[in-house]
Amino acid sequence: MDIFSNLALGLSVAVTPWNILYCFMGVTLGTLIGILPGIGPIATMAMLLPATYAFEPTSALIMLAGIYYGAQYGGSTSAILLKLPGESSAVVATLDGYAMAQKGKAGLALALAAIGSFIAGTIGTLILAGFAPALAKLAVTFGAAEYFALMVLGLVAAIVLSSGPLLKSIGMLMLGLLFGLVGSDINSGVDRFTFGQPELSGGVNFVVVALGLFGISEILLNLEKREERRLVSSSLGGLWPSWRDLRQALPAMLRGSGLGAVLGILPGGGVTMSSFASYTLEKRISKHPEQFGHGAPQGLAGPESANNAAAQTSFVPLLTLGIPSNGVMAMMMSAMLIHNIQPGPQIITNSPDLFWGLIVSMWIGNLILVVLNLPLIGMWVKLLTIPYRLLFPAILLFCCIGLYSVQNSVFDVYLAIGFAVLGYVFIKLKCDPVPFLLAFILGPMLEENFRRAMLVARGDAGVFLTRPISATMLAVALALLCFAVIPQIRKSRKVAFQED
Amino acid sequence: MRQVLTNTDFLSGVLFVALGGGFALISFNYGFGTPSEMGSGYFPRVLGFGVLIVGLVLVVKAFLRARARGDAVVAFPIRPTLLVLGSLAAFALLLRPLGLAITTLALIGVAGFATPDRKLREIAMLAIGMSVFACVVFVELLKVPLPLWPRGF
Amino acid sequence: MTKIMIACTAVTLSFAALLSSASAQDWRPSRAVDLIVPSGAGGGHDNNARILASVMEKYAGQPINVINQPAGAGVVAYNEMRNAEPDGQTVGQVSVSIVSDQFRIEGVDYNKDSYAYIGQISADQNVLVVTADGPYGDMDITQFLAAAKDAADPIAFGVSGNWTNHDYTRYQIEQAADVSFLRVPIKGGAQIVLSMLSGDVQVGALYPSEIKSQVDAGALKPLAHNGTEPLAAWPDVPSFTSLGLPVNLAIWRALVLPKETPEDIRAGWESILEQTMNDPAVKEGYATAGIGYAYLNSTDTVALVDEAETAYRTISEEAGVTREAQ
Repeated sequence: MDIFSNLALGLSVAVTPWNILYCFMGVTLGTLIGILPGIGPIATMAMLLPATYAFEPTSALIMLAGIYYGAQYGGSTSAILLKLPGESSAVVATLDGYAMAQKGKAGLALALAAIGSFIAGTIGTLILAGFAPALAKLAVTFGAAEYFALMVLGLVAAIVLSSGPLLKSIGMLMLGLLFGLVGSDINSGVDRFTFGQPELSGGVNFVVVALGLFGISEILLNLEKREERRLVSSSLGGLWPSWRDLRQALPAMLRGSGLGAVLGILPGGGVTMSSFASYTLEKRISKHPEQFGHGAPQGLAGPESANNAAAQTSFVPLLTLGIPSNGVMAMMMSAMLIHNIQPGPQIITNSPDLFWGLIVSMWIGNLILVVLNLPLIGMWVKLLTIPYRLLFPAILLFCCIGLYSVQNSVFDVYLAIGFAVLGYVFIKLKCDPVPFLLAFILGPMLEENFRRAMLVARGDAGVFLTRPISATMLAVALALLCFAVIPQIRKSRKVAFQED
Repeated sequence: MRQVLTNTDFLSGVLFVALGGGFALISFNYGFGTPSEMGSGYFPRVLGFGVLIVGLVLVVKAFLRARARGDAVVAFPIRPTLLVLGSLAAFALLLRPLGLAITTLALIGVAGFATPDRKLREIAMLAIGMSVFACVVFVELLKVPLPLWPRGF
Repeated sequence: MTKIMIACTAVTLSFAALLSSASAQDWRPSRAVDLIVPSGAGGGHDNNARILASVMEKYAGQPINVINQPAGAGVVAYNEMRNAEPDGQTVGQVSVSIVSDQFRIEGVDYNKDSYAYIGQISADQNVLVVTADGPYGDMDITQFLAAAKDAADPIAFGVSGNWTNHDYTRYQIEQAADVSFLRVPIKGGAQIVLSMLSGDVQVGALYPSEIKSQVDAGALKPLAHNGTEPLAAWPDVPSFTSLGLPVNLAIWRALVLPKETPEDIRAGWESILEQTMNDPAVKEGYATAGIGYAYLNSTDTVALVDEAETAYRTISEEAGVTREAQ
């Protein structure tokens, strides 16, 4: 069977009225919970799982998968409009996406995100359809040493994509890594920096840091600017991208899709890395890197495409190896098991209709999402015209509910107050919180993989250089760092000379 | 001198020294190990001292360039900050005993006063509206397991 | 005369029936029940709770909300279950870690006596697996243990953190067979499987559900398991006990109520659980999700818990497990 007959089989399964309806329900619900920060797809899927007992297995999976990638769409909406990243993949959208919204280009930003996601979804689907079994092999070539190198690459990306001065960025990066280490150390079982609080022994949750550092401290900043506050809302700007905008953003979308599709396959943090990697790439190759962070369309379109493509290909380890790489995939696996389908290498031969039906439905879901979201942009942008005095208490309420529902505990709400203060102080002191947040996400994986690689190599640090994939990534990281550091040093020396 | 003390480089240096030093200090409770078999204290101690050093460099830099840069911190507005953070604390305190419906009223009631252009009637209407909205959307539709009413009801 | 006797018997019988149905029915929850689960959504614990809850709603007569509290690897949830109102509206699902946590986690002060047990709901096994195309892929368990003993460099054994179930099993194997492994902590069973496939570690002790697809595909090979009954999926795989090796720490889950719960409420929940566990829907749900079906009533569960605490206490003391920072 070649790819076209496979896709035809998938189409015949996915394009039935019922399956289209389930797909529609899934992506709509996903968009809704994605917009609400902290209400993640996992909890929603868990809640709906018993309801899918009665469905055909393919329909159940189509709907649950729709919730997942629908949530990716919705997540960027609140990140762009309100600087509320509900998931790590939406962090990058708060950089140039939020900056665009502040400049009155919220409509353009949302449209670029939606179109980019659709293009990425299409490419992701094609890659999944064409190469899924081959890609599964890539997923298992990554051991601890390779993941460590990938994390290092991610940290260098965090420095590159920061707009602040180098020294402060490095300080913030290390501080983020430290906060990421809070909690039980897997290697020894010791609770670190938890002050005897069992709530902390699982580590500080991403949602707590992201909403505290970004969302709530942004509200504090906005309340400060009394007069000039929210002039944005009076000029909505064009809602639709012009051909020029699209032509400008298209290469970034394609690059992001490719990068995201490859990274998404890696079960140990690939999806998270995809949007950072794409942002770094775009900033690196741009002729105007100084525009990044101030509303560069490529800085939004690339990463948005990347995280959507990664969301598609992150199904590879589950579908072809039977290994759930994160909580969402664990839910998908439960759904399959309930219907007596064992995910794994045999799934393509044993249930081809389910496999190809699910893959084609993802493309249909992406189509529904873009059709659904483009007309909604006008409504979202109008949201910004609501007087801020009415808008921010509502945002605070959504933050609180999201924070509470992470672990069904008010502890995380208190913790977020602390991070809001910290974030506010950081901004006042001109310390860019972005490297902090990225390092916070990557920190635990960095340490874990480094220590595991050393343990498995029986203490030989050479392992990072003798394994080709790891060595290549470390070399790229070093090169990127040099590119980032050298101009900064030159600049600061110039400034120093001028002062003398 | 005053200029140095309110300089952002200086203050962030102090913050880095305090936080990095704090992490480094606590990490002495955890085993350091060797580079090949790291203890749980290895990463935090190395990073803690790293942040500490960055902080010290920033402080020194601030003194060296004291006159050249007036990169001073703007004042912190106390009132809105306290009200916003207070509204979050109110949510955390009241949710378990009183349930979402009443807690939402409290959160919006406190937060609403954080802006100068507030109107009492508007805040009241917003609070009631959001309370109904939150209960319907989160508890009824999305089935987020939040307590809805005060305990015992 | 006979007629009167028959009438009397009938009256007595119907009275007895009334009485017995009344005693089985006397307590039921009056509103939606919270079922606290000490783990996040997705994964074995959560699946178990959701399958159970969906069937139990029928017998409890009220909706059952699964509340995931993953904080502190279950410590927060276990404290919450203990301190809940003893009104039967909050039920907890616990694993064997309620008796082992006290030996390994600083600050834990709950133990087997902190709860009232409704009954056991499931049991699981750890299966020792190796990679099929690795150096031990064509060995049986005896050959493997001999190879592990002779290895100049200890074989890398993936565990999901120190003194978790996987790790206790590793320790028991080491003691029983007089071997030693390189203990490599990896977060969660799925990640251990990945580490085995990428060649970082060579062996692991995992739940059947975690390895099923890889074993079916021929990538992993099960060598032995620590249960007492043959494995449902692979009945030919021997148990350690059958080989004369004492690798047998029980892994189970149970439902609990706060200690102070009144007798009638406890009895109500015991009958709800008994009806639930006898419903074929539970067995079916467990089978597809790869959860081992096992049910014991309250009294037998208490005995099971007692036994587990003694076993974990002995092994923890012997292995020098500490609650202090290491």
